[in-house]
Amino acid sequence: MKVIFNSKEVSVSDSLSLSDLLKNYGYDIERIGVELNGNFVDKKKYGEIYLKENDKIIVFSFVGGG
Amino acid sequence: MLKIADKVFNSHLFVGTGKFSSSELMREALDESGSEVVTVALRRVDASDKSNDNILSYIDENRFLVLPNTSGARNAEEAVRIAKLARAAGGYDWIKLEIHPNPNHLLPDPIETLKAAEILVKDGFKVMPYINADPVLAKRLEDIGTVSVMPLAAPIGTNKGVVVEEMIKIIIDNANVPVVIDAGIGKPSHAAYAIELGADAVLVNTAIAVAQNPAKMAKAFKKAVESALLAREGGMPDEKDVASASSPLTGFLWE
Repeated sequence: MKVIFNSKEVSVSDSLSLSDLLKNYGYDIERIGVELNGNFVDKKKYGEIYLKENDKIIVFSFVGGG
Repeated sequence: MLKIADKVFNSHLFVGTGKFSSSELMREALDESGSEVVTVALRRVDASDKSNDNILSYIDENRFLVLPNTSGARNAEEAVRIAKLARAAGGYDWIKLEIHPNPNHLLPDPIETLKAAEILVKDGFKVMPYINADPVLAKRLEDIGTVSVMPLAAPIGTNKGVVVEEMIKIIIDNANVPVVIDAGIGKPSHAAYAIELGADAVLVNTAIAVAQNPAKMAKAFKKAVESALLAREGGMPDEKDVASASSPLTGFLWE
């Protein structure tokens, strides 16, 4: 199936959890924030959320700022 | 000593982490600054983009309070969204609320800032709002429960020092929460001046980050802030319009 990951369409296997997706892409889960379809996701729930066709996932991280 | 909400800080200098040419230089500057509060921003990231090394790896969280900002927010809704993401991402419940919709002058939107502050305070955030030097707005924010106010000295990145001095003085005179002067501080003397005026702290980013030697500049700011605090403790004399001799006016040789 297809999901929109960081504004790009990517193919992922069915029944993939959000946690697996993030790990597959090499993110350090402790230091990122995730929005799923416009709503931020509690870190504890990454493993419980299974992706659906056309889900939009955006990953945020901390960068330098004033 | 500086107390904001339930936290006590020895340093009255906050440092921003933007614009440094490398994370290593930033870490050295943070060390030399003696600061205990650093600001960070939140942005979309691709894991493949290794140039965007996670900044938190360079910040010792046992020493620094990490204060995420809401930069990039153009209205209250976006600011609240960023604050919640920052909390979800890093567990941070302190937030530097900044909403500046116009990239030309980066002046904060007072109406959206007040709106967002109300929502975030109710949601349990410790809100530090970046505002124009508006004493009435500062009071309104304090009344709804922000833990400080952060009026600008001059527009962000202009390095002009305390150009809105009269308004800053009124804010300081009336505030019951710490006043942190944010934006426009271009050199250590500006920081010292802001503290001498009675500000509780200053936030400096550009002036340190773009210095030829950020670590040295950070140290200079540290000393300037400490010096101004000492001056306040020492008690500064009032300004006068007439001259008053320092040496005795009697017993001259020719008398």
